[in-house]
Amino acid sequence: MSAQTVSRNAVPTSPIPIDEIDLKRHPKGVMRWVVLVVLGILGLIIVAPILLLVMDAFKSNADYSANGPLSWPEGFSLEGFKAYMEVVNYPRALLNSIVISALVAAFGVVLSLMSAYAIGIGRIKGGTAMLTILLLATMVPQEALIYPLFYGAQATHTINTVWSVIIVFTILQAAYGTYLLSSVMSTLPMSLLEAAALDGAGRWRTLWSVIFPLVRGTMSVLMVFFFIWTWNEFYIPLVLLSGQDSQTVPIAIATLQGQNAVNVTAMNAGSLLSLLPTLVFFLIFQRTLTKGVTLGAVK
Amino acid sequence: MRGAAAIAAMAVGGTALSGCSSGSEDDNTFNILQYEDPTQAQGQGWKLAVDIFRKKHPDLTVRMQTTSFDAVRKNAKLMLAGNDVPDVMEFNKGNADGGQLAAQGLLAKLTGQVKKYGWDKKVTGAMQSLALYNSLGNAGSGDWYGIPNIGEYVTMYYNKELFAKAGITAEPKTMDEFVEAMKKLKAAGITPVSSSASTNNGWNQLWLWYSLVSAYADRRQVNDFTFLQHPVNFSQSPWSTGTDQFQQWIDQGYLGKGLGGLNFEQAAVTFLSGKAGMYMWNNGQFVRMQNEAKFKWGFFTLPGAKMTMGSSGHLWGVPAKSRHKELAYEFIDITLSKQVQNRIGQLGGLPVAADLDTITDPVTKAYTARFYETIDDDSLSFYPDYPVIGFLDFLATHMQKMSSRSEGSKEFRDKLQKFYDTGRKEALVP
Amino acid sequence: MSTVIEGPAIAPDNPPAEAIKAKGSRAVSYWLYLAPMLVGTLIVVLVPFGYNVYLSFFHWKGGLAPMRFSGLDNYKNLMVDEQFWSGFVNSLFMIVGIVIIPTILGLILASSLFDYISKQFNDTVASVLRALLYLPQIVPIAVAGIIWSWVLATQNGVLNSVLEGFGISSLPDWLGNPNIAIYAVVLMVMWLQLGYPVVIFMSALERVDPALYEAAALDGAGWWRRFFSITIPQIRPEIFVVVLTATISALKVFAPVLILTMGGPEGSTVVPSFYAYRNFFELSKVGYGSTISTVMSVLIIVIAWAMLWFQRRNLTEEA
Repeated sequence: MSAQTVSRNAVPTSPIPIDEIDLKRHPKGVMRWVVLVVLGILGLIIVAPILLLVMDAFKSNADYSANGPLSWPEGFSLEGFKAYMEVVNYPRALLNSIVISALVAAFGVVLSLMSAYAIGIGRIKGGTAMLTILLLATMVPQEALIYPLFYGAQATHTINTVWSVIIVFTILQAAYGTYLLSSVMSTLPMSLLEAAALDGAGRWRTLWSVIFPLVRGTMSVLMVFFFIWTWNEFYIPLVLLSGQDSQTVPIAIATLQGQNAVNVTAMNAGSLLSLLPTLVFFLIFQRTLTKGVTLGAVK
Repeated sequence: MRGAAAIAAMAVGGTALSGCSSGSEDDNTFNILQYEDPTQAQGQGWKLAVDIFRKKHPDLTVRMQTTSFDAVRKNAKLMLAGNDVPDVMEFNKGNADGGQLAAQGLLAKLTGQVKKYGWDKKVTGAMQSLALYNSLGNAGSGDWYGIPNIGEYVTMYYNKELFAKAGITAEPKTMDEFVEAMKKLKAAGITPVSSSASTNNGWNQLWLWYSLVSAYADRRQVNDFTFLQHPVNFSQSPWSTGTDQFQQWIDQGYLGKGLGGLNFEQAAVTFLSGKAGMYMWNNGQFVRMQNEAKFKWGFFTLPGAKMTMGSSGHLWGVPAKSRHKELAYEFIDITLSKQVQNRIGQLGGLPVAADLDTITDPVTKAYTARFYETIDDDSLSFYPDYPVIGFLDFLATHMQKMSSRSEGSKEFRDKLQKFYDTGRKEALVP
Repeated sequence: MSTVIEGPAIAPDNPPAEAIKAKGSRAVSYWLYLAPMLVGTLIVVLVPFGYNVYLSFFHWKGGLAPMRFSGLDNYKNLMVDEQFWSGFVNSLFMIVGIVIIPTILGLILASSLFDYISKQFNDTVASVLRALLYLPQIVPIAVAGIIWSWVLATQNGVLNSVLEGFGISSLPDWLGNPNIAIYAVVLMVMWLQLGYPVVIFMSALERVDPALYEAAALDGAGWWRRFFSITIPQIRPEIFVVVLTATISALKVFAPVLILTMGGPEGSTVVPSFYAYRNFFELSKVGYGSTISTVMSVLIIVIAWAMLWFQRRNLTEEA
């Protein structure tokens, strides 16, 4: 964990540039507040719909039916949560989702690092072609893969276990991770590698002691992405995990949508409960997102 | 990446807990798969059925698993072709769903069991139609593949307080009286019927339209259309009569405006919040009306109509690869027993074979009684989207067009003729 | 022309000074690092996709239904299938909503947070703002559908209530009017997408040598000049990744359409992938669905390969 070496609060002591001519009309302090407020408002606009969901999750059924989704709740009700817990085995689904997403995030990131090392640093022959082939994973529609995946999971007896989904998504996510990391690695200054080689570091050690620290920030991003993307996956888990014991949270929520009736308040509550773990995960990892080592620190 | 390592370790610990799969090859496990809300009428009835079944088979491990309607729609074909199938499962009625499963040999034929257990005495009339499929997967004839526990029918739910406010003193008994009531509501500034026409679950307009067609149809016309028995001419009655009247209602503004983006749930909320006089839906919303309407309400089937929309509910079936077929039949028989059927009835679930007298709540009793009348006089006309594949999407799109008045009755019926005839041709060849 | 993604500092025929091992073994051992991923891709993607291509030459209803060989029938039908090709117009809308706007906006936002807010206030403020922008990314698509049906509702929807507040009297029927529904979908996908470039770009900026910014600031370069002359060139790899992956997503997108409009009103929001999905499930035409997937995949592969090639060339010229 090497800390940022830049003093972030250093206000540039430069002459005022032309394109910030606005600043001349305002005292310096005002502009920064204007920017902050503009960004803050944008942030609120983006979050507002989600706050709506939070509000509706605490409405009673009768309140929702009588006043619709946009009114202020008449009272604080946990009816939706109760109904959700009655219909869905939430603890079980939560455990499944956490296991699947966490393992995919961990395996996927390691696999991405190794593959990207070969393509971005090793610069093996046919790198672009390789990447295109790997990226097929992100290009092919999932329903085009589903029959063979189903039969494959059946043949390996991983169907209805979390492992089938973990294996599939580790590969699908690592394809993306390989691309991102190899793109980043291909811009690393080669002098670093040379230095490592002169130190007599082998490939394995170079990867972990030289490359890894440099791309750690990107890897944290991947970690977050993989976790959240896998958490929210719907279709492949739906097919590979038809048993209730292996259901994930999004699939459990779908059971609230009947053909001729929707359990709306339970659905709102369930949706909120589905968001929380990913939100917590993001907030925990958000710190590491800004902890990448800058090249400046290495030099 | 210490965090990652910690998470991985945590997760591996977790997998140890969730290692085992549901599909144990164990001969002592009986797996039931269904997708009804376990807290609602049918789900409660089935809980009771499982209890009874367990008592009969104390040595069996009985597992009831819940999935979703949509999952079965997408998944059943794949899952039932696999090695690990439930012993008995609920499946979706209709040619595109259950019909396909039956035609592809994924479900066991139940005709012999029906005779043996006498299920056809409990499941009668129109309740049988969507349980029978022929070798092409078309409903209405052939072998039994599924057994329904409940029925469905479509009624107008109406807000008695708004009716009174608009000066409507009695429940309309004829089509003319009904139109008069809508007129009065509109004059009083109340949207007469809360409706919806989104291609994303906005089926109200579709049901209103087909209810009007059903109003002028007879059994033969309905069966020709639904079960592809004879060619249908959409330029004649009931299609012309019903669709023309539907267009009039749209033009008069009886069904509200801006329906293209609304779904049935939003339309239900409009009605439940007292903003519209009526709402047409099936029993899927009956219990909700009872629990959540803050006004006095009632229901009636479309007055003066010859036929009413409705059919059986979804079906119990036995997968062809089920390892416990005999037990599955026994379980299905329990779900049709008086005990289970009456429980479903008391909770407002429209069971196919309950004793009306065991239903204590007067509204529920009346609602169920009216449903039994429609079975007894054989006046149920099913749903419009069953006959040909891709029909729901086609109809929804045109309902949207009619609702926004960019298409008229005749234009719609011409396109309907073409689509239906093409689909019918495809459905009649293997 | 060798096919390597070129690092800026070195040419392919001038490998790093690590002539410890012979060239042959060097190549071999790097392949070992790639092997697990290749094997996995083979099993999870290539073989299944090969099977999908195989299926496209059959008529098949799925399940245990018989498979009937139909040669190129499916392809012939697809070439003249109005419903499929008209969906590509909407793909362009999706590219605007998923690639163009979020990437440009994401660049500006990431750069503002990193190179302005962080410095003018502190890292925490920037982190909070980033988290807000990223939130929609964690919303499962089904949940997003529920929320957005409230936002876009014609009567009393959030958006129309706001518009009403601004004194606009003729309120758009967002999901019911075939002429504007696609814009409603674009709004939702923009909202869903924005957090992705912001997070990637912000983490990319962490890699940039702060001395560059300091020097530029001392030279009197304003924010915009720093943005164009430092930020964009320095994080080019990530920009490429975002543009390429977002383009793939935009061409493949169908879940937001499915959840918001089901392709309506009046078919105005149908996208090509959605059509494949319908054939797989609703219409039980698995062979035809496979054909659509195959054609879509080939299109996407060609586009992606061209972009990768351009990326490589661009990063090589740098050297």
